[in-house]
Amino acid sequence: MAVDFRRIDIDALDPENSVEPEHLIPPSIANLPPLSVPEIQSIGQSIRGSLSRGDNYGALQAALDQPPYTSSEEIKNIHLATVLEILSTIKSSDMSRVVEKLSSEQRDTLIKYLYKGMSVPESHGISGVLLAWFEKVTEVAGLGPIVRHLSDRRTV
Amino acid sequence: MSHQVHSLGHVPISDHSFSADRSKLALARDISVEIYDTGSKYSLNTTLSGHDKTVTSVDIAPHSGRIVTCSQDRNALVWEPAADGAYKPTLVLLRINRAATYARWSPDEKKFAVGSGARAIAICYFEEENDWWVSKHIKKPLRSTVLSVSWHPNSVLLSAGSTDSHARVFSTFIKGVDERPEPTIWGDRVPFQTLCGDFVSPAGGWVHDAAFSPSGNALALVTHDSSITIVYPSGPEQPPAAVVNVSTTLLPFKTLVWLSENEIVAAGHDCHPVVFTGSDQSGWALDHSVDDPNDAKKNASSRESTALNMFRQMDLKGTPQASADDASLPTIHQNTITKLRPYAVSGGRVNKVSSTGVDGRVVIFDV
Repeated sequence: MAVDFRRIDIDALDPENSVEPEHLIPPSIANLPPLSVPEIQSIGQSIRGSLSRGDNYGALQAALDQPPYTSSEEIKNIHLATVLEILSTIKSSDMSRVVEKLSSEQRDTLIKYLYKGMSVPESHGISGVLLAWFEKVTEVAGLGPIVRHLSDRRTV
Repeated sequence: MSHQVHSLGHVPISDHSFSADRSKLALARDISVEIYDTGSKYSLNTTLSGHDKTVTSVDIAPHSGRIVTCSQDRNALVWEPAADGAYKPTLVLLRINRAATYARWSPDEKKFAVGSGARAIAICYFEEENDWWVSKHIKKPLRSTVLSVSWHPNSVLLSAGSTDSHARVFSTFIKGVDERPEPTIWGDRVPFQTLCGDFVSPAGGWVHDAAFSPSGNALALVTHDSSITIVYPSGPEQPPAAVVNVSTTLLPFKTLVWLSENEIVAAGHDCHPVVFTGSDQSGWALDHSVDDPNDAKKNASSRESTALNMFRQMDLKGTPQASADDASLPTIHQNTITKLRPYAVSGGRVNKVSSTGVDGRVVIFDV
């Protein structure tokens, strides 16, 4: 047999199979409008503003509260750069205290950014910092945020 | 608190069901169903073999004593108990082209529902004139495998948890079999396949189990994002009155049981049950763990710290640590809990639940 029948995608031949990409968008973000480049840059600017005033916790909270879930990859990367900047600014002695103050949703989002951060080449200089953050978050929040990162279709 | 533990071999158990008087236990493991006589020690009575692939689900009807089983071989069998203790199997025409995943009798025992990988739920009922179990399919809008089904107390509404991360509530009203049900909060007129509710967890993930509360007026679902979601509907075609999501620090839950209107026990990949309490007004929260691994760890460390024990270990194993314990989990179940079921009820509240797991153990927990 020349054809490897085990590799045929039989679902593609099923006329009743109707999973489209839009079916996979979670309802909670279905109405979230995608952001434009100037919009995300102005958000980044205001966050950097609070960072320069020394309000590290406020900056991190603001960045984690409105991730651009529905925006393009380019926009998401701009926001990722903002989050990575905050994470590398906060001193390692302050990490535990900051993580404890975050809400459960914010911790879940932080884990998403840590995974994303470790997957891009720009973060190679700060991967040690990201691992330290990862350790602190899992100390406080257990394995739940990691499982949610894997299951969640709201990607950052 | 003493939990009854029965180790019945090392083959994973996918589902279990006790008879109404708790004198018999049916276990779905590998390609057969084992019937055990219960007592202080469980002993194997019969093995029902009729399936030729993994049996995924088993359910004993409390009144008639009939057993329904379903399997990855795409078939369901109804086992009729005979007077001499034997069982006579009848094949059910499911008409599905993928594995059957989950089977449950309706509370009135006239029908049963079989979830499947064919994006369909087969609602099966007995046709007198043909002397044959036939099925009707619920297909829309299921987009993926159905992992669990659970019945509303009125035997018409059915909840289904699916790998498309939705939990749905359907009507299974079959003319000639069911009497017209009383209007419920889920809907007044409910012809077959009416979708009465469709819910997801905020972080998504497969819905491993979904179940109605004892009154049938709330639905709880456990999903693969390590969370439990409790939904309180407000009326037909209306958005729900309250949707409470509790995300935990644990691994995902596979199964849940309502203990009362305000208490739920859930268990899964963390190998021990967890109790949630709450209501639509106050919200829900994780209350406590049953068989908490942290308590067991504390006891274990205090045991190791005695000097006698340390020297005994050094003498036996050449190391001060109890190395034999290192491989085992501090919980009773040594692997994922696959199924929880109510075992005993006292004063309107479930106070014992039975559990089975991948480790081949059956445990009856006091909760």
